[in-house]
Amino acid sequence: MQTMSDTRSLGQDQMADSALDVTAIFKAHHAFVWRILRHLGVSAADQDDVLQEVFVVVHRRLADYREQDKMRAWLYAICNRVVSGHRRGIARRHEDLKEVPDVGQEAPQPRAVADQQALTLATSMLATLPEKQRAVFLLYEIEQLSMPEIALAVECPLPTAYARLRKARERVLAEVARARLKGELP
Amino acid sequence: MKEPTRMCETDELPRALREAFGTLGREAPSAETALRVQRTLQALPKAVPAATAGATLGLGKLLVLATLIAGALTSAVVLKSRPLSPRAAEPASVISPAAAPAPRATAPETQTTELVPARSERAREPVKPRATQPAEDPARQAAASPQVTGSRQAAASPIPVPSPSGRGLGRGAQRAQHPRSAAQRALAEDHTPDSRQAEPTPEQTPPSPAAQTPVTPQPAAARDVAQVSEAQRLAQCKQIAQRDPAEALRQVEALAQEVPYGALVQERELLAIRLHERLGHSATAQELARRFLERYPNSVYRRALMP
Repeated sequence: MQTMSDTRSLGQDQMADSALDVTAIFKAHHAFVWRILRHLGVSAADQDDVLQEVFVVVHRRLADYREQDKMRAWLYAICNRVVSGHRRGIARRHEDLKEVPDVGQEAPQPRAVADQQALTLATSMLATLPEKQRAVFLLYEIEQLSMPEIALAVECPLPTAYARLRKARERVLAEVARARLKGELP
Repeated sequence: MKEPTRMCETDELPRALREAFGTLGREAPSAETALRVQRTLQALPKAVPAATAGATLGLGKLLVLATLIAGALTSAVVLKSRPLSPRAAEPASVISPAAAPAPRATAPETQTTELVPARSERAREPVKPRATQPAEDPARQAAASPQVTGSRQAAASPIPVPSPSGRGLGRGAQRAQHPRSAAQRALAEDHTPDSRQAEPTPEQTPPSPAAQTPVTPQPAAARDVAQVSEAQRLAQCKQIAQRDPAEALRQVEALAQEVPYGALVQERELLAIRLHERLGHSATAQELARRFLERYPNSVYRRALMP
């Protein structure tokens, strides 16, 4: 599966060699960060703001970046922290919010109708995974990071990352079997 | 350790599912969003190189250490020179209000000192040693006030004053300063030196709320949209459910699409089950309840869904 063609064409290797600049990092990795934020549960309404906040943090922490060739793992760790703070902020803001805006302003992104069912199934399968297993599964199967990168991103030992991936795969295959039995999948 | 072959590159998954995972892996923000964020990032000040940052940090630590050592030495000297007068060693900021010669002359100072309770035995002490202090105190306070007042002003001010490099401002303080968006926070950091100069002294009138608001006001509608969260959407679905369960169910399903791994997944699924029950879809409701119990065996909603 060829994913992230935009990101890979710019490539983390190229990023590591060139002088680090937040704008260049943004150009190379904004789509990756965008998807990670969505997978971490950031709503579409907040996704723009959180995306920007992540790269402001990247700009501030750029001097601390030491892991060459591990840019996406580093970005994932930043996303994780920023989203945690964002969730706490939502909880605080929710108490103060008096008026609820119109729901229609937050319609999901349009997609082809034919893909909708498979996408629904895929997202529901991912939703059944425990959070830690889902993170490893997403980073490996969808974002195609290497396992050492993933271990660095989710801040766990490499064997633990492998174990999480194995369990996540077992769950996904069980869900596929169940969907086939129900006729949702061919 | 050899990495396993990715599932999407094998036939373990059906083709439709492989394509769906591929679609999830190709999602990206709109060009407009990307451009807007990129412009904001370009407006940020240049990042400090690692070597310079390290040197600055080292210099800062050295200064703090030197200040602490100097303070400790001064205290030791003063204590030795006045062994019979315990008050003489106290800094000006911890003198009780009863002892202060001009309590209202420096309002911020005395407000802070009032917070320090004077011990009863000290209150009963004769004020003799202090008879010599009025001549010293103004000078001492004048010497101490630029630093003390400056730091207190920064602590008491609703707008924290970061250092020009932005290092002095914590994340929490930054959020409190500009809760709407990171862009305006970033832009605010650019204007920091000017805003520090323009900040009034404690003797002047306190800054009005209008003066504290950021430079570029954000439209209220945009702010409201940005504040919509999963919890609010769910609450709204519950409100709609009272008059139109079918519409509420559509909203819940849309929410599931949009925020599939939110913090309120269980609540959302529970609401969907209830709505299916109200709409007479008992088979779907039972199936969803079964899956819910299977997925969340330790859920607090387990008893509510038990048959």
